[in-house]
Amino acid sequence: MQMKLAGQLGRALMLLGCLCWGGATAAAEADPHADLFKASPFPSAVQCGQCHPRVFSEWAVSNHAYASISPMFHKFEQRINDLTQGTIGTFCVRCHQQVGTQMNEAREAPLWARSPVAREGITCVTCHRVKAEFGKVNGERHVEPGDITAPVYNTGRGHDLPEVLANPDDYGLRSAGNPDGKVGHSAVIKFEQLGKSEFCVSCHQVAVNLGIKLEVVWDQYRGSPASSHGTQCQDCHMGKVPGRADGFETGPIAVINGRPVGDGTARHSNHMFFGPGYPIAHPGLFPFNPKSLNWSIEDWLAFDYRAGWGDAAWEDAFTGLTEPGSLPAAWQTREARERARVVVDQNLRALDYKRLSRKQVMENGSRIDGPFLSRDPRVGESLGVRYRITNTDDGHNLPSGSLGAQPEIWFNVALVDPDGHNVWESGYVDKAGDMADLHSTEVRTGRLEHDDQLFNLQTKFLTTNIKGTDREMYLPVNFDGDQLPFLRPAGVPTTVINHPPTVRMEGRSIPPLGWRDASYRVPGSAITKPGKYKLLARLRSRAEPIYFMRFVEATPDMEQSINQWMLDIHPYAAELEVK
Amino acid sequence: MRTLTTLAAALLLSATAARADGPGAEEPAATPAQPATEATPDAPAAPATGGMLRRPGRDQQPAAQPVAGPDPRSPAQEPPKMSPGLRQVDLDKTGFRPDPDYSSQRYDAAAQHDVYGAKRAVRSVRPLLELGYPLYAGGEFGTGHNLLGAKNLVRPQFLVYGDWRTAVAWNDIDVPDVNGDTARGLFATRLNLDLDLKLTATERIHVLMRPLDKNGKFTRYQFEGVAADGEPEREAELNGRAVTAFFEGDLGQMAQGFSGHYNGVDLPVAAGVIPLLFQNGIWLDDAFTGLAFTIPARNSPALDISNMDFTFFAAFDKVSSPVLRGSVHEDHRADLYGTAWFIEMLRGYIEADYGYLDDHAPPGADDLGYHSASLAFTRRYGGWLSNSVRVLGAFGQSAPATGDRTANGVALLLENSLITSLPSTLVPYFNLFFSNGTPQSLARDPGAGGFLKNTGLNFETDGLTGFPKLDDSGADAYGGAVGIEYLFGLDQQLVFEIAGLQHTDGPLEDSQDYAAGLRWQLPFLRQWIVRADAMAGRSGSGSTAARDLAGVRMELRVKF
Repeated sequence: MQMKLAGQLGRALMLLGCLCWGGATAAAEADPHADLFKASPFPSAVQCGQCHPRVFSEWAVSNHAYASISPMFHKFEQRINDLTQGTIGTFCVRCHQQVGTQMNEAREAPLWARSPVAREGITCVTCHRVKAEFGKVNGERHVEPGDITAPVYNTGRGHDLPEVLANPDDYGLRSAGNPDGKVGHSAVIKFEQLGKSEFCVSCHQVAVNLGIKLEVVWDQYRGSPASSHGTQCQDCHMGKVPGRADGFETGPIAVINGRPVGDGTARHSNHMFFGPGYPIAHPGLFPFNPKSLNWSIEDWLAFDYRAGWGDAAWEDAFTGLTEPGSLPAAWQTREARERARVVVDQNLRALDYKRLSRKQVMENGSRIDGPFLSRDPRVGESLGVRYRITNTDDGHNLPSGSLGAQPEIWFNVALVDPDGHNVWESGYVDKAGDMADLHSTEVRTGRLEHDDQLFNLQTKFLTTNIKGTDREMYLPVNFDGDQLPFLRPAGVPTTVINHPPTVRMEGRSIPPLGWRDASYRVPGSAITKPGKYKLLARLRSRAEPIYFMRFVEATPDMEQSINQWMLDIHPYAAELEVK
Repeated sequence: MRTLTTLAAALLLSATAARADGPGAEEPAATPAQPATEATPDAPAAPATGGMLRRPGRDQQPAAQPVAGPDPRSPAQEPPKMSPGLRQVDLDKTGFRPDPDYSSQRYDAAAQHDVYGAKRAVRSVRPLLELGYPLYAGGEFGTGHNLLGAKNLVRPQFLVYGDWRTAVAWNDIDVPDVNGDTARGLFATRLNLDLDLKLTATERIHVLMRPLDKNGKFTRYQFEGVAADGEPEREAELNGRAVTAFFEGDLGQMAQGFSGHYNGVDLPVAAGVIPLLFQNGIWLDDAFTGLAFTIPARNSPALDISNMDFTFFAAFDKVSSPVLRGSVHEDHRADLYGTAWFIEMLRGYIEADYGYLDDHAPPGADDLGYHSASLAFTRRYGGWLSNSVRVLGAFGQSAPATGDRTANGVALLLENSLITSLPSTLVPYFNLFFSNGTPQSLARDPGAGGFLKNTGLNFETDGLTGFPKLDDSGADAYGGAVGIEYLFGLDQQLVFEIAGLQHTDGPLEDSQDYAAGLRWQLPFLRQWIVRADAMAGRSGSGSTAARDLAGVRMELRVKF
């Protein structure tokens, strides 16, 4: 009996194994030429930028370019690997460092030990060297290897390319007579999916075993009016106006040695990929500034940009006070520091520019009306105050389902009395920057009052208690069943039960074209005198909660940056007369 | 270097051209609310004029200026509507409470270096068997095969994984054996083998096998007490049958592959012997032969619903229910139809479920079919309470020829936990229930226990050694469990709980169950977990007089 059963099981395994035969190359297989192949299997964005400077300059400040640099990504990725005993493996780096992961670079490899193209995150080839129509593969795509001359894939066929290739001398391309000329791709192959939302799915709708959804932008889009109307992700996130499907800019598809290619009427898709996210990396490392490559990553991390190194005032004060030898080797000369400062300041300017695009994409996608008062305000009497927050975006929720439970959008409203004193507020933050809810350290330790009227649109991860209800959890990983969570495919069909057992995501976002009222009760004790009061209001957008950053052991500098670059959306004030 | 210099020059040209071509041939204009050149404590204000930054010294070469694109000014919006008599005025942000102050914080280069340089390899336990591309590993996976269409690529991956649990226990349920002993001492073991064949990004086949247990009996060796009913004291309960075996996929994706055209449909489906679990197993926890599909990720602006999923399912064999247990053709006599809705709104989520168990009773037997419905709402309140309120009801069962209806009643379950200063790791909980009649889940696997299983540790056995538990049927009773869980650094667990119930009607009227229980778990050596449980209590439930309950067990579990 036992033999029969074992035989059946063995045959079943063999059958399943045969079905797998011919599958993709296993990473574990040793390729004797691997090292040689790794030398330059993919061109860097720097190479592509030689002929596509506009696209490069947009991409250089984008979140795609930031994917591999993001310190939060590295901290989170390490922490979740630790907590899941490494069973999450390359799940994160498959999207964030896709090319490097395909080249089998170790997930824990220091950034400076990786190939340059891996450091570029979602770089040119990550999209333009993909020729297969991947779906919900969680970043497990295949990027076609090949040097700069290999064909690229695009929404068009590159109809100006033959003219360029036919006139190499006119464009200064490499030829027999010009061995130092530029080299570019030999062909452009039309790849229809690249211009469709379906192309974005492979990284922007991801679920980790056990089927835990981390990004649900696609889900939200599919349930939106934009999807019904045929609007694509690219229309709003790569178009003329951030966050709106108002068409695309036009321009030359390339500029080779100063000579534009084509008649300048080609569609230009903006490669900033407009969105609310923002970098918190060292500004010498990001935005991607080719001049920064004059120094190593480690040198940049030793450059104290916050202290003002390289600024004239700091340098003047520093001279003669301290031995230069106290500074890191790369930064012992004033000249080096000043040159580095130029890069830092350029990058900070670029981030300021990016902040405007972030603000625009968020303000184009939202609206605030109010305050609407419950009654004429009177001294000593409580007052009902209501604002209406509208998601004017027809493509996804506000906030979108990107990055699971991390992005925060909350409403901050304050009442200022005739003397300019803040007498009441909701949406305030604690000393770390967290909202005053259950995640605030100060609230939990009784040093700050809980914000009972907080209006917060942040998605929450929930895990089921050992018994009973759910509780909010930093990660979508349950530790109550056992404390050795392995992320393996679920034993239940999770796609038909909303979520895997014991783990779920709870959305609080506003659906497309929906609205929600933020209603408050201002106590009469806050209104103590007649006169002109002001109600201040703003939506606040932050990429990461501080409590979560501390959970993943982020550095204080990362916290500082995440708060420093936080965005205020539609800030304004209204004046009211209290009698 | 030449490349970089060329590129930098090109970028500058590009940026300049973009500005010249743009709506304003100048720097991005400041919005009234947030000037473009706004200074922050740590980010000095950018110059008001465009062009290169000017620095002392020689570094005045053309610089990379990684900005370009459209005019980033927000288009004018209509001013906000507000109550009559109010007017919009300038905003002074200092009227808000301040953000964190970093004026005394110093840049820590070493810490920043460690962000990128101190990452660690984590040696993971691989599945027992991996064929096709490896699970969450690096390397090339290829594009896959075009067997099901270019828009639904086949890239097979076959994994075998699971866990193996072995426990030793001394259980005493106060029922004497032929020698008068009430304690049973035994070893028991259970192997869960998951076989998962991933076909495409959305399609897979999953099989669960439990080769060492069968029909609720586990491979065991009893070393104390005499087994009841003539069962052997040692037995290998080998089993080659699949416990679950289902296909899971997305009809929209499959249609896309077959047709070669994108469509607007996401329609997850499952078919086979499918395990379904809703409301943490309270309303449904069973594996049956059937199919299910879901309309996922809808929303409603009108009702302010962030997300909602609607699942529909039907079962045609292997439907289990406490109502059918012990009946003729127990495993094959009922069909099942149901729907489960999941709605995220009101800063929480609603679960609304309804189903009908259709009993094809053999001639002469009672029709035991019934309707089951449940409604639940889960949310956190005031930064101190996590709560779920559930109502579970069964109705519509025909009156039997003799005795009472077995699915006719309603239960209210109040699940609560407190949010402490260690919200993730220190979790006091108190879960209460009140029931009238005989409320029933739509379906329950015999191994899933009663619907009170999720009320407390003491209402749950261990699924291995027959560890004692309180009455978990939830019929005509009220009670609950109060406990506290501590998870240390998410790497160890200690739970203490007391639980009890009072029967209010029916054959057990006025009888009581109560117990205290303890659980400790500790992982070690990457894939091993040691777990110990103890409980002591008294049960008035059952056909005999009140009994003392006691159990202590220790389990080793290895995951792979």
